[in-house]
Amino acid sequence: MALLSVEDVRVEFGGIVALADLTFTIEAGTVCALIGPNGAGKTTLFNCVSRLYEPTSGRIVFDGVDLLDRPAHAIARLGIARTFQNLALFPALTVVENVMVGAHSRGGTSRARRAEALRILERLSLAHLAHRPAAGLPYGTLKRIEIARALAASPRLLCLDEPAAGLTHSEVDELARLVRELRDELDLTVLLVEHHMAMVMSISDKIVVLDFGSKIAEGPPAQIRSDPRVIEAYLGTPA
Amino acid sequence: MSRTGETAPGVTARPAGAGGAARVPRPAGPAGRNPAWLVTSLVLSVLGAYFFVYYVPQNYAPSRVDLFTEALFVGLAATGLNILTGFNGQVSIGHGAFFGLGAYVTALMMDDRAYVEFAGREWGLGDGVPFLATLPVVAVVCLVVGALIGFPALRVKGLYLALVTLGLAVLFPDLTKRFVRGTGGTNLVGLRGADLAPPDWYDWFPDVIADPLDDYVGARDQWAYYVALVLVGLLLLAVHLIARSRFGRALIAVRDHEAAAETVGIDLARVKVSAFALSAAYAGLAGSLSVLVARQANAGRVETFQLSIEFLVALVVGGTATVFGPMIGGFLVVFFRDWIDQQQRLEDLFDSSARAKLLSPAIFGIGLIVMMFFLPDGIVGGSRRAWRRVTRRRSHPIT
Repeated sequence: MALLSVEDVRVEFGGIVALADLTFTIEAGTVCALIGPNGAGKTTLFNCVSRLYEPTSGRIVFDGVDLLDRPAHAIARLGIARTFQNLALFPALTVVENVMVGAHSRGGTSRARRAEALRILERLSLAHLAHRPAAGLPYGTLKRIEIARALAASPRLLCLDEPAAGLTHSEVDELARLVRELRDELDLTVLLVEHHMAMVMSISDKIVVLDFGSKIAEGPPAQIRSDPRVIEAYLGTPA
Repeated sequence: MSRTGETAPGVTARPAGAGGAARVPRPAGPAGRNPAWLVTSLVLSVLGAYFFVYYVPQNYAPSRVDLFTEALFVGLAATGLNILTGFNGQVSIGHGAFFGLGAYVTALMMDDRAYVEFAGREWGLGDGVPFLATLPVVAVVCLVVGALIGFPALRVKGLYLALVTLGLAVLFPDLTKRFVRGTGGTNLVGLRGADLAPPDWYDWFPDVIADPLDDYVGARDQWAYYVALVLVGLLLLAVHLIARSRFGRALIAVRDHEAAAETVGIDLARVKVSAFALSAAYAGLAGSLSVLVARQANAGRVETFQLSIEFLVALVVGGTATVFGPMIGGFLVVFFRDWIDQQQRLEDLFDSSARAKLLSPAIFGIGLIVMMFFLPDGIVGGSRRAWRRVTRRRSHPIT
């Protein structure tokens, strides 16, 4: 059964259509990548799932609950966590406190929350930075701290918005391995927006391709790779 | 879980430590586990306790003790402002209004003559209620009023919020003139000596309270000081606990990144309104304390505005989003103002003390600019940086 189903979601900013009646589903336990040229509407969809944007019409159903009925701060409790394309950490807090804030929607004592946060940091090889302020750490590290913060909510659906952007080649390989491992260990479903095609092709079970707010293709990596419409969207029409 | 030994990809790119020294192993825990820090803070707190609990009230003249009490309540109001502005990022230049509200509620409850004229009726609010009994009422009233103002404040941010709160400071004195009937029908609620006398049980501590005449009405200044000291101690402890709590982290998260805070499940409206309410309660209790020193509640337009600015200055000078910063700032602001007012040389220069006093805000302003230039993160932030530099150099000499 689909864990997340996006049904005819339409987003308009003034006269501009950012998402034109987008429909797709994500099966539980899979990695689904959302790709497309810049401005295709990928992050817009993320922001609809997070309830930061209000769709003009459509439904987003997560495990039987229509997300659009819920306020933004209630989404985390349903089991959806995300990272941001441009870092969105809390610079004044220490690394471990950032992760603890990630568990805001969960119950438990501060002590348990801290222990859990430290466990997650250790899993992501960040434990040695736990008590440093987030401000001033290198970019790649901050991106992993964001993943740690998202994991602290014990999500069922993890949404990663361009996690590989700005990372070195070896960091990207490490990230791809991490995402697959986390999915298996934590029984996660992953929605991924990413421009790094090697990574997308290697870890995705399904790819949804957007162009100008519309879905132009959907399917497993092998099929997407050879889809003429996808090639056209990325490379332009042959002269 | 077995990969902890591996070098993490993001970490290998980390630049070497300060001064180009080879990778410096830094203490992993928070600063509290540093032994040098522990010893220093222990010595400082013993000395501080002796000075504030015994030396000040037992050795200084009443006017001096009153100055310390004033520093405590200005610091307390700044501490309240810190919850809102420092931790939560909502700027208010209207906290003089909450301060005034607290002062009025306390004074109206204690005084038997003053009343509030509202909806064609006279509301006495109480006759001769003991000071301490007014505090819970002030806390509740200011929590409610703070929350009521916090709701519309959800719609405005930054500079606009500052202007809206400034409106509060401007509006409040007019409201008191309209509704409060105090001494001689004005909005001044004056209290008599007997109202401000310490309660009977205060005499149970004869050794602490030097009162040679055995006339504890005369110990008003000491009583006021001790009340302020205890209340400030409790409320600072509360801030310390809040800063380390789930709510405290939520305050900072909302300040640092609203969208991210919302996606981790923080209810922005609830956190912001709570911050406003709590902050107003602190300022209101500070206002209650002011009644013990000023012997009256009286909101002038200039004074309410000036107080609001002083709270903000105390907060910024002391250090925003720290526990003790605003209190240190409160002491600096009050004693600096007092010091300027006492300068004989200025009086000679300007022929009169009245004219010299006019200059005090200007000197105050210059001092503030200089201060912000050298210590942009306030006294506490600046000392933290200095301390870190000293300890790092000592424990890890560059070879």
